[in-house]
Amino acid sequence: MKKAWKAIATVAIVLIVLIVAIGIAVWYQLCHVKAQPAWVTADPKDRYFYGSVGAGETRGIPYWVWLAMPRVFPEHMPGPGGYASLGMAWEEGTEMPVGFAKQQVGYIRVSGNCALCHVTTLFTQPDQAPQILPAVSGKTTDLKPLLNFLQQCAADPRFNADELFSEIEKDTSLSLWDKALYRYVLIPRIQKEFLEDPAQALFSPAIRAHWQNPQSPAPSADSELKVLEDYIRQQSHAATP
Amino acid sequence: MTTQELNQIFQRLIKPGPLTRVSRSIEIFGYIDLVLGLLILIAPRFTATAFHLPPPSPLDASLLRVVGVLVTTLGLLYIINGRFNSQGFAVGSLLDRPLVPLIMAVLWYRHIIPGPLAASFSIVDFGGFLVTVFAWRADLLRGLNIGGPALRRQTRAARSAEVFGWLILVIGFVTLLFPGFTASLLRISSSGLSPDANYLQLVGLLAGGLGMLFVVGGSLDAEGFVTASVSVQLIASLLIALSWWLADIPRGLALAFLGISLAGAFWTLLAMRADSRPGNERQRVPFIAQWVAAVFAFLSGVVRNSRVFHPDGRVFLGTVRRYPVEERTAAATEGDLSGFVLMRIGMGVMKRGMPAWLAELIPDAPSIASRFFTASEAEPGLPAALHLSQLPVQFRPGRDLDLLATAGGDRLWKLVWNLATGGTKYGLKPFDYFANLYYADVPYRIAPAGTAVWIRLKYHPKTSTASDPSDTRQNFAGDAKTREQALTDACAAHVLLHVEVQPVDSPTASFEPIAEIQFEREIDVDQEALHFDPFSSRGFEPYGFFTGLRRSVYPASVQSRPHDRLQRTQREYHPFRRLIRYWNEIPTGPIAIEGGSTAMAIPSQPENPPNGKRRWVRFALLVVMIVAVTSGFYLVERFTRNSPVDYTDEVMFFERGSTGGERMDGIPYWIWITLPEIFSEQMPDHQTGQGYAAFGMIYEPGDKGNPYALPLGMSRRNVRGIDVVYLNCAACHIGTVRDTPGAEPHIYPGMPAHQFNLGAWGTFLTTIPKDQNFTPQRILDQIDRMQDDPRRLVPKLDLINRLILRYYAVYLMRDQLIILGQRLSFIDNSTWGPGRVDTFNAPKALLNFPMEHASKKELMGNADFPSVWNQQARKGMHLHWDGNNTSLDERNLSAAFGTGAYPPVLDAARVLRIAKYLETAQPPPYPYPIDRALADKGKPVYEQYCIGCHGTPKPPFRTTQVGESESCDYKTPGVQCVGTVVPLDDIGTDRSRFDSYTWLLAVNQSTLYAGYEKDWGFNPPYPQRFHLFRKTHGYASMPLDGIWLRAPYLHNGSVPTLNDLLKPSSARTSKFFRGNDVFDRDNVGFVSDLPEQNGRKFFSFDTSCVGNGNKGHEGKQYGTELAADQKRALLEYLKTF
Repeated sequence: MKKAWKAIATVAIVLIVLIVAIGIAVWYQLCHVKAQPAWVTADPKDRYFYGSVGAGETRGIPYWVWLAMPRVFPEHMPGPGGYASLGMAWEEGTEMPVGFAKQQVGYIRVSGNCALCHVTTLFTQPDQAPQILPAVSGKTTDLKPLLNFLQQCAADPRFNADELFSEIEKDTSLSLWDKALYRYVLIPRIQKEFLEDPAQALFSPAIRAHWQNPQSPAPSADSELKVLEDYIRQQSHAATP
Repeated sequence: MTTQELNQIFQRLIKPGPLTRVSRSIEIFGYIDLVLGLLILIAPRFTATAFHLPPPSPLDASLLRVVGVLVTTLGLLYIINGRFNSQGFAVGSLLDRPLVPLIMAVLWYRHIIPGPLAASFSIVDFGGFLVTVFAWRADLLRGLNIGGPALRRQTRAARSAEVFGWLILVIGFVTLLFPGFTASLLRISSSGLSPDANYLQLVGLLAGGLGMLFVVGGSLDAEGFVTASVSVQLIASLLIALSWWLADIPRGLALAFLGISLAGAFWTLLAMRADSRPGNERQRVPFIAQWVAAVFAFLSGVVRNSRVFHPDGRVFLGTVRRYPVEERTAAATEGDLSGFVLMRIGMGVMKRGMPAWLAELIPDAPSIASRFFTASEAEPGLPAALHLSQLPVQFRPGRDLDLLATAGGDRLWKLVWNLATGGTKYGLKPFDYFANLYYADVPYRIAPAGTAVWIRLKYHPKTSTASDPSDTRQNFAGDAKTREQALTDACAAHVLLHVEVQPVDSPTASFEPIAEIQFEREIDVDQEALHFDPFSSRGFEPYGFFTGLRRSVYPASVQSRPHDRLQRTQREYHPFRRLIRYWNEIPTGPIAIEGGSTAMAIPSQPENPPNGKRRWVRFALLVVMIVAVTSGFYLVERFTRNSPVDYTDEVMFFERGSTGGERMDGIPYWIWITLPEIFSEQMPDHQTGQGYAAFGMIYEPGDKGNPYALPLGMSRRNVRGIDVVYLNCAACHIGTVRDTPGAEPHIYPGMPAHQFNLGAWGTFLTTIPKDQNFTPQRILDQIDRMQDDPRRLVPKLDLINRLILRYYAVYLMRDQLIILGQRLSFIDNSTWGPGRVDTFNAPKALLNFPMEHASKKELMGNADFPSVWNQQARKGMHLHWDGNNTSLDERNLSAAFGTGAYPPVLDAARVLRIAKYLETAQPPPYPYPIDRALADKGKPVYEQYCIGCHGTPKPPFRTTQVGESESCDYKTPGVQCVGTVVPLDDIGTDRSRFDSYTWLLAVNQSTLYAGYEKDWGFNPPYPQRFHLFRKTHGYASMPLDGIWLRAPYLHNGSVPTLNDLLKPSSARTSKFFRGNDVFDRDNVGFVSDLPEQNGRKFFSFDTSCVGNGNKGHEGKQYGTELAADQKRALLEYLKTF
């Protein structure tokens, strides 16, 4: 009997270790939520501009697809300037336009947050970079050009791994795993999502509901969102004379 | 261990007995390793060069020697084990060598092992593996079974070798994974280790591999392995001691090595002594060996889809007698099996043709498949007379009952579990048919009352005499041969089996016999045709889940099996099946190797000489294999080649060093030199034989008129076996000056390339792909015409490169140039002329902005090439003409895009080397006479008017910290604002360059180099992503070092001389000629009034064109209202800069 238990234990341990190892690997590559860099959370404004909201539940756009799209499909762009030409606010020196949160959830993805709409771009001098403030005026950014762009890209016959990789290869060298992941999973999936409704890739369900029906109050049940909401209210009050 | 034994071992080592081929292959592999190891040990630097490794530092070289010792040790281990015919070691090496390519691939991919080394290890090990496999095959073909690992009890000596193996395995892999940790333990300074070649990790890897061999060898207690391990430990210690003495191996490493291997050797010697004492044997089979065997067997069973009742047993005929009813209990009153029985008795997992060593190693359960039948035609009671044709080979429903019974567990799950875990439970005795209980594994209902019972078969001794074989069956030791012999004997003795039943509802009740089987004789039937059909018949009805499963599976299973012997034989010889069954069968020779000896068989008779044809085939195969392996190695090395041409001299490195951009934009050398010859019509001067001189590219004095030479500012790199060239930094930052029209030019690195017409060069390259002559054939023809000239810089094209050029490279280049031309098409370079470039419309093309929607004013960004000296002093200044960046690193990497150095191909180390050189590079002093007195008069003028913006003449150009751009008040005397941005309205110069740079570009540049988080050696560690580009509000004020060489002046080069610059714009030259390098000493600048000189045409510069405006930098502030003598003095003073 003792021998039998020993054998059971050995096999069980081996099995458990194997399953756990495979599980961890898959989870890590697809779902592991890595915290955003410290600078994002350090400053309330940066957190508002670049912090992710609902990281676990947002599909997000695979980062390298997000980066390559404006370069692969300039014909769907209204003008020079990448995402900024679509009306997105973009501070000089930052990698992401305001309202785009870059975060690694398994793979690196880009998702929209509150600031994508609730931000004010002030052009103080011609030809100079605009000043960018949290939405003090209550005016919101029109997302139509962005969503149209995403949809047009997805509908373009050139939206495929080969075309996108030819651009991505000028920016980085993806690992074999990432290449396979992009080619066989992420690119087909994001194309489908863009074609159905780009907002579902961009937003967490709560924000998307708020975006579809702006009359409904911002979903502040979430404590994370509550902080951001309080922040924007505070900014609006500060701006009101 | 006595001296005599040692002596015998020594004798065997020197003069081994007849060896099997496997052993010979192992030994030969050992010699290859030995030679390789000694080569590395004796000549580490040569080996590094041979394997294309970076040149090793002294520390690297000594680590490489340790690698050599380890490889030598491996080789010795193989040689000695080969000489000892050590079959366990052979099997062990067959397990680990095929893994080597896989491990090497991972290590190479993770940049732990350099590619060529990984490839050579893989090829040697895998090749050796293949040779051994073929040798094994050859041995089998000769009917020689070399045997395999036997589950032997481990001796202490073997145990010590195994533990030693574990120790170095752990040490090795720790070193491989955490080289820094080991380095600190052994007090090896990590600064001496080169980052490219991780020789310490290599040492770790080899130690780990060696450890693995010791673990396997020790666990399997392979014959001779213990002796071999002691010998190699001692020899390795000697080698390490020698190299420590002669070659200065790090002390910590040498001591650790010596300590471990000597301790291991002495421990094993002591253990050998202990073993030799009588009655001191170890009683345990090593866990690893057991475990490996169990897993291996289980897997092989599953994978090969073996069935418990496959037709590889022996068939017996028996008579069945109903057990006397009066002797039965109530539970077993039913069921009548009387008549005859056909029994197939055999092992469950083993199949015909499996190697004998495997048969004894894997868990297996004996089984009995029986068919109870009545034979009314035959005389009852005379089974011996029953004719073969009367046997029910086909199942006859209703008349025959098929019962499948197997040992090793009374329920099926127990049996599977038992076999999966080693086959030692539930009384399973694989080497004795008669010591087992055979359970039917499914419950039966017996008509008429429908009593539910479990059925089993049990050996029933006739009488309990001392001669009964069952007495000796208490120990299960034995082998397949004795087991089969016992079965034969039992049949001859007509032994009895009882069919017993137990009621299902009372599991504690004992089994009661209902029938008695008596063995009659062994019969020979075509077993493939003998199918069993274990379902209801003769009043016995199986039921339950498993029976249901059987009902659905059996028809398919029967269908899929061969229908007779012939078919089975054919199937086994089907090529694919044969491949799978490679290890399991012997195509010629005796079939029943099962039961052969596990001991090493050594050929006692001379082998049959192979016939001529087979020998020829073998020779051809060998040749093919050698060719395949060699060419594979060569191709891997060739297509991973990535070696730039380097220069030791820093200036030469600036002029010709690589930025890595050739890998992205590189043009094959042979195409590069043929283009001006083929497409001379598109060249500015329509001439051949001059290379690219017509574009103002500079050739060294000796290279004049040599079309094979590369101009300065071109780097060369061998990428995937092709020599490719492209621009480097110096292309735009090197120039020439001539004293007089007839003089030889002086070359000044770092000055603006005021003659190089980048625009025309770009137009040339993007136009020619559309020419009908841009075909592989035309280009190869031209190469053929040119390639025999001894002036060529690279070897002639070989066959592979010719094929690449013909079928791939030329087309690829054409496509890429056409795409490049399209992307750049919005940039109008017709007004550039020499010495200028549209700096920031290029990144817009790189980012593929849709420029057709852009504002017209941003489309022209003409700017002069700047000088690049004294970069150290420019740290923190606003760089680029409009001061849009304050980081030297970002500025450098941004400029490197122009040389093709995109992030994935950037050669950071070499770019940094150039950057380092430029930090302190100095402008050449003014070579012509200077009126010192006059210059001294100019100094106060400079300090009154110019110093606020342009700083002091020499670095660091400022005495106070550089002011912030927004707030620096350059108008206040004494404030030094060099390197800050002057608002456009104040400076008033042409705004095109300012307008071409937009904030939209700035924010998008922030995505360049995104995704790179590793430290590339920029100091301080640099976040690779650009984050300092800003749209500014004017043009930056520059230091004026070497200002005499920086003509024409202003950011767009619109003012030909310094003298002109001190005039108001209305008085400046409105049309002049650029590209002449004859110096104008009076006006300080280049001669600009000649349209042509010595047959060379210059570019007519029109200041009225967009982007060429020469306004600005004028007014009192800017010195244009100074008196003539003050201007003269200032001019003289500026010559001293």
